[in-house]
Amino acid sequence: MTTRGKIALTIVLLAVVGLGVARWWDKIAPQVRPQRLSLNIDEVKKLVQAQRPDPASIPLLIGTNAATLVERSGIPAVSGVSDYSKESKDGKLVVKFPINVWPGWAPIIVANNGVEPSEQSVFYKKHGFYVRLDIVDDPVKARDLFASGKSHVLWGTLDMIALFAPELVKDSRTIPVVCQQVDWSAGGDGVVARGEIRNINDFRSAGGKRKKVILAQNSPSHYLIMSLLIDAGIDPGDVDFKWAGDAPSAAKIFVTDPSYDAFVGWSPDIYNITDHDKTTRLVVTTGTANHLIADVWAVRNDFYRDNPQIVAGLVQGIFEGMDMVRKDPKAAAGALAKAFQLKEADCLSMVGKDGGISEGDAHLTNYRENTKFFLDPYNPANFEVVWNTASTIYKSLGTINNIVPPAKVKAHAVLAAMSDSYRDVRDLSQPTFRPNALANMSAEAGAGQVLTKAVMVAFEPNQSVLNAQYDASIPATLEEIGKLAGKFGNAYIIIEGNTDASKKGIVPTDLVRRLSYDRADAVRKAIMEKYKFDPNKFKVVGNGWDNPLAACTDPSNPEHNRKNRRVEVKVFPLESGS
Amino acid sequence: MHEFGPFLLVAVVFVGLLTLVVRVARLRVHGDLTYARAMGLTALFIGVVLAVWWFVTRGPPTERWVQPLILPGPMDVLRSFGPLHFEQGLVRSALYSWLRVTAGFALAALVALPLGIYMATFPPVAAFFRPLSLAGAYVPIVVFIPLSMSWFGTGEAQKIGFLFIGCFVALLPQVIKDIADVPTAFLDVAVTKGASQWQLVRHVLFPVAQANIWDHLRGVYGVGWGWIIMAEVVVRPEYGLGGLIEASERRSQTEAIYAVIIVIVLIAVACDQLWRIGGELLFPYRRAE
Repeated sequence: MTTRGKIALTIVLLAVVGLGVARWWDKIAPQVRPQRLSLNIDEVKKLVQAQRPDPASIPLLIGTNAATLVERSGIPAVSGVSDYSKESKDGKLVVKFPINVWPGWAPIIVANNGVEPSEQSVFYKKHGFYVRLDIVDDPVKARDLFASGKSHVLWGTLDMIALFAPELVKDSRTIPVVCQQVDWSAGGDGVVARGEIRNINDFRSAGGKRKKVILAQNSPSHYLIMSLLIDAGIDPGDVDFKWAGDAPSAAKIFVTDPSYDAFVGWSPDIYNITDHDKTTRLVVTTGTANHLIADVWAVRNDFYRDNPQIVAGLVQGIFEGMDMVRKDPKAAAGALAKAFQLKEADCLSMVGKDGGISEGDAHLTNYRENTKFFLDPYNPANFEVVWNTASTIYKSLGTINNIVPPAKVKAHAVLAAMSDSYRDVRDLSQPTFRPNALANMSAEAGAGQVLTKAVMVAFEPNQSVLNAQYDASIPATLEEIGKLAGKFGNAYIIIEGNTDASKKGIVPTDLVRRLSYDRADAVRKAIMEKYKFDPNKFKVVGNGWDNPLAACTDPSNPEHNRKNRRVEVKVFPLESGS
Repeated sequence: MHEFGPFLLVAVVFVGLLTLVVRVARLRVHGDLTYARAMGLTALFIGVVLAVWWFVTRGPPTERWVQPLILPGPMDVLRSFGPLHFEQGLVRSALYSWLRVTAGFALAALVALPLGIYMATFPPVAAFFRPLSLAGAYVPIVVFIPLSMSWFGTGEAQKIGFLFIGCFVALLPQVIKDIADVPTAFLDVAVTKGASQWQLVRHVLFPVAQANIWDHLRGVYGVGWGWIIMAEVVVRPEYGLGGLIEASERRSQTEAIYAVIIVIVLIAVACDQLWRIGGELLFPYRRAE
């Protein structure tokens, strides 16, 4: 064949291949199947409802039943040979406990007298084992260490562990057995926005333009924003999410590129950015939504089976470290600075001058708060609620395929067994709500408001009694409001009753207002009865027909009237009451 | 240091055993080896790797040597190609990543080639740009992730810009060295024949060095593929192999990660072979050497 022939043949072949590729391009290179970012919110709510455990299945710690509780456990038995690091020092086991840069680990760092295994540690002196704390900031690396048995413990927020659990439970040895809550994120995570966004409800798309939000996918930030959007009744598909590698890079991207409307990230980024750039603002932090992101630790199931004494020792040592942090926050900040190689002043602001009670990025959770989390079925922000909400969100997004039942990973027995030693520990997680704090505040103005949740509660005509026979969805609605109030522990809740305007001119305005007030108050009473909140947390407002939905102002339209007969629950941060 | 010990031991044992095999088997220096036998030996190595892989990942999770979350079995990886192709746009991702790497590399070559040639030729240029060639390659590439963001924004330009920087700092010192390695005898001859300064660059230095430069371009292009994950991490693009790995990590889909890595390696090897063929066509005299 001549050179010319070769060239011609090559061109012909290339043309044929090219045409074929062009013709069948979508077969050869299929597009990404549309991400299931758009969620049917009612569907998600229903799923969360369905996941709701029967209170009887959660053991309640009261007085003397601690011993019987220890017997009841849903954690599967281990099959196979234990497969974790057996490293020891002077014949004593070294527990490998990875942690991240986060003030919630101050108690264990203080109790361990640093990150290295030490004879001076509480764990060695009182419980006879060593602990090595490795800084592993990347949750994926921490998970891989845990799965491979190189570490015994998995640090994480409960939502992250719920995300990892479906894979980890496939091997009974690597089931993450959650033993203790170390803190609630309290100001450590938050949403920062620019432009018109003042509260979560403003994330709804306007004029066909979706809000552009950058965050790390499948992270606590993701869980935070999803959970808030669902509360505000916004379809996450209505928000244009962009994914960054991690929370700090999300902050950098937000600062660099003004086309982003918001980012979800961590302290100190969320504060530094809003301090320096006055066009940005904090929409919400976990300082207000302070019962949403729980930091916990879990041990491998084979380790849990083999070393119950060590697990109990870890839990007790961390509680002891918590007391030490509270007694001397400065010293704790010094220990943190050494462990994390940060400035001491930064560490003090992470921990908080009061040792992680109401200051700092996290509220360290003591024994009483732990039992409320693990062993109180009536707590609207307990283990099961957080676990099931996170699992349901991730399952609806298609990130995980199945939901691991919380009983399979929750080690309530460890805490239950030590109830006698911590009889006098009090719950410090609730702020003091001042009576009439919101009295002068006009709820309609919406100053400083975080979020509005609209719920439908149907009442019999002219009645203000909640009747589950009349509206079967009432128990579920009350639970939803209870969970919202529980999640926003550091916030005032205003419950507003609204009526339709169909009787305008027939019935006196005051009477209708009175009725709508009574109805909202009935909701408040029912929630108080069910969940035992501080009574000063709530305020009730009766709007009558004065506050119809923006799109539903026609009193002769029955559909508009139906939508207007609603209760709105508004969340206000603690500061707005002062 | 006690953690260094086992490594040293393994390394010494490996080298010792290999030397033993070489001597006992009486291998000849540059001895003949038929094509079939050569391929057979290569296949044997791949076979051994696959066998070890299969062996340590066989059986149900509780009996495996290595956890599936750390290293899934070969069949798991093979099966994950299905969903990757049909649901996650694997081919499109490969194409987009290929375009990014190629664009970043092409830009880097466009700038680094002339700059390197001038630096190796004209001392004032070299003195001015010296920090680039001296330290550029040693700056940890991760610092360019936030920097590239502030220079190129957060869109596609940032990804290409990042790959440009990565390729550029790797390429520049090599081009300089290739030109500097041209024997002065060539220049002397040209000068005697009355060549102008520009003609020395255009007709002596570059033509003599171009075959070596080609080899180094080939090497740097391969390096560019190694950075695709870092390039696609800032704002994850809709399509991209690095983005696919990122997304699979937190979903605990380790088998998908290995599948994507296999794709990256295959593409990089295929491109490398194209470079080799291109080199043979462009510089046929080298084969004769």
